[in-house]
Amino acid sequence: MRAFVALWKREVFSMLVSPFAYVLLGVWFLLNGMLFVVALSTQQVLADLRLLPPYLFGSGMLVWLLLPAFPPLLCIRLFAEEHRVGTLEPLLTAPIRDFAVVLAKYFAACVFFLLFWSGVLLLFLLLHWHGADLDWARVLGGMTGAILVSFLFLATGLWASSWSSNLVLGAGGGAALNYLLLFVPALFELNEGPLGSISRSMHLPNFLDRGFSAGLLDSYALVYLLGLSVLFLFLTWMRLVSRRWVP
Amino acid sequence: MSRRLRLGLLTAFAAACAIAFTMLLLYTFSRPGLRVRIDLSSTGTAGLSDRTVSAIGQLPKGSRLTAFLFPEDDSLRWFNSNVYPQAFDRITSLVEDARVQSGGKLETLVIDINSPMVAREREINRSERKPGEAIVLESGDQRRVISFEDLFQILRANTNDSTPARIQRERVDAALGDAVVALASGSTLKAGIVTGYGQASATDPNGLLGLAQLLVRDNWEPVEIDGPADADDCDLLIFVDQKQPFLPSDLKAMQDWLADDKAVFVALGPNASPVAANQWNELLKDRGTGFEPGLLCEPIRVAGTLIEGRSDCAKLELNGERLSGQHPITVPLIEDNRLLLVIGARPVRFQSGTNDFTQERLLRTDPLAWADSQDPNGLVFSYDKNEERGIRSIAVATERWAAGKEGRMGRVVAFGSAASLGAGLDFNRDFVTSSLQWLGGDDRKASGLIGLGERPFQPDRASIARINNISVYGIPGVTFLIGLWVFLRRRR
Repeated sequence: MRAFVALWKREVFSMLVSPFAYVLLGVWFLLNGMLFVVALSTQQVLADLRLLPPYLFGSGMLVWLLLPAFPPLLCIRLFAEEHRVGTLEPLLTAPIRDFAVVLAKYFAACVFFLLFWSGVLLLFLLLHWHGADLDWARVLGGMTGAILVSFLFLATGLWASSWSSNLVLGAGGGAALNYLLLFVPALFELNEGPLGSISRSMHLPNFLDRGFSAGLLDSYALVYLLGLSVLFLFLTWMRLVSRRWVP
Repeated sequence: MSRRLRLGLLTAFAAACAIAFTMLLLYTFSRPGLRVRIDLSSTGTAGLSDRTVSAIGQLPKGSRLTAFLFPEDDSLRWFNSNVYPQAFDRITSLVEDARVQSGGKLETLVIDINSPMVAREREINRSERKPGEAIVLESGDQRRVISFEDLFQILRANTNDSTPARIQRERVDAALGDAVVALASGSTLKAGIVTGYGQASATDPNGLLGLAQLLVRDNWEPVEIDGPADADDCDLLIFVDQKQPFLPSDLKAMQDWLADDKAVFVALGPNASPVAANQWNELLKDRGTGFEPGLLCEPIRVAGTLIEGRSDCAKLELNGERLSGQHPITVPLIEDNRLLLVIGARPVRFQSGTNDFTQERLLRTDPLAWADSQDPNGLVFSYDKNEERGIRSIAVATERWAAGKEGRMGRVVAFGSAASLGAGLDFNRDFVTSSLQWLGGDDRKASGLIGLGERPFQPDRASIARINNISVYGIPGVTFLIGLWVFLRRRR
């Protein structure tokens, strides 16, 4: 446990002192700020602020474009870069279990990604300080959903990062996987029969748009997001273990 | 087999097991008993009500809900109106909740402007959807349709001052619940609209078509009949603006109907024949109600002065103070601040009947009202000395103290305005709906109208500029500066 905490602290610290992480964070804040301003300039949102959380967290560009891309970018340095600079092998031979390595890196990325969301929360607080009467159940519900989706995307990013020392491949693979998780269910959502119902039960924007952002916490959505995250962490661990005989 | 291959296969097998386990876990947690939805809103209205959830649980497997969410009424988009975004947001979240809560019994499909044209056309044709219909519920060969206007109470756009249309209240949950109850029970109550005594037709848009549509929405099956003698399998008889007296056979059938404690909604305006009104007075004598002659008028306030002599005096605006605070028909209307507009009403008798029945005055006039009687010049809408001022009843509900034949309560609503169920129906829909629900035996069910809880935001220009600057320049700028500082520190 001590080794896990030490590694986790090291990962968090290395992100906090990484200029690249701040560039990512700044770009994220900039794009989110622009989306926020665009949403606030529409008459519909000004007439009813309850529409803002679904717009930002559900059907808007944040989920469809930004969210799948940023977590893998944050994850590339976790395994791919360690592999590239040759520090992965010493780490895997250190007296710490492989799964603890995966978890420490993952939780460090999660904690750092909460910084990403704190900026979005700041935008809502900004509105609140300017007298807006926000529906906090929707705002916090939508944010909870979006945070859980980003944790899932971090897990997929971590898995993609564990496959190669090529940073572009690691980030691109993670982002591609995330876009697949988003778009494939959307493509088959209108189908009848089992394919349609399976697609609807995997449709991430629906979880956000019709559940979390509407102020409803759905146990299935929680299990889906957490379950898939755990699955990808397990697959990452399997990949690390298998590196010993399949490099 | 080499050790390397064996370990590789073992890894692949473990990964496959993990995927299978995750799928099993998801399948298990999608089961009805294990799936929970928690409403975070302070009002508890973000999801479906317990009543609707329980009704959805009664649906047979394979039921289907299709929501058609595309703007059709251009006037609801004028002046940047928010009606459609708000409405679609509410419908989609409740439809999703319905799917989740049904535990696999209800398949839902949302067709919106982003849906492929082929899918949209296919669903429109398959469900035989007509313009204005927002939700189609199907189960086996049964089908219920909920129109957009049944779901939302909308204040139309004002073109004079460019005020956009807005949603005043919504009843998506209640309407879904009603439709699902009807679908789950597999049967609907039958309402006989009597049209054989000079009444307008239930298929005439200028007649009682609106009432018939309202009945369908409230899960009644309206049937047009000539008279009470044809009403064998009906659960409710509706009389609106009866102009001629009953034939003896129908009068006898009506007496039997009331003696059997079956439900009646009777609306007689001032134009009903005096003989017909007297027949009703005899029929309803035991219940302490009936119809009196005259046209109810009230002075209207113009520029702070009460004036008479205008036809507007016969348009009675009723706020919550004029509605009974005791009766299940009117209590939900008071709670929802509904304003009624009763047009061309006659006084309804409200007095003691026999000890078998209770009476409740549902709607009443102002104390300055009078029943305008015909003089040689016709109606003058002015009070004269032959008339009496005072509070008069506009609608009365009666029922048995204790259940009568076959447990029926013998419920009757006597309403003094026929025009309010025809041309004026739009102003009194909630009163009629609530009355029908009570007559059908569902006296605990409220109208289901709830406020939308709009949260408008009207910042001044300086606030907007500040929000924009902080969002786009402030927060990202500070982050980039911290990043630069970290970069410079690391270089040192």
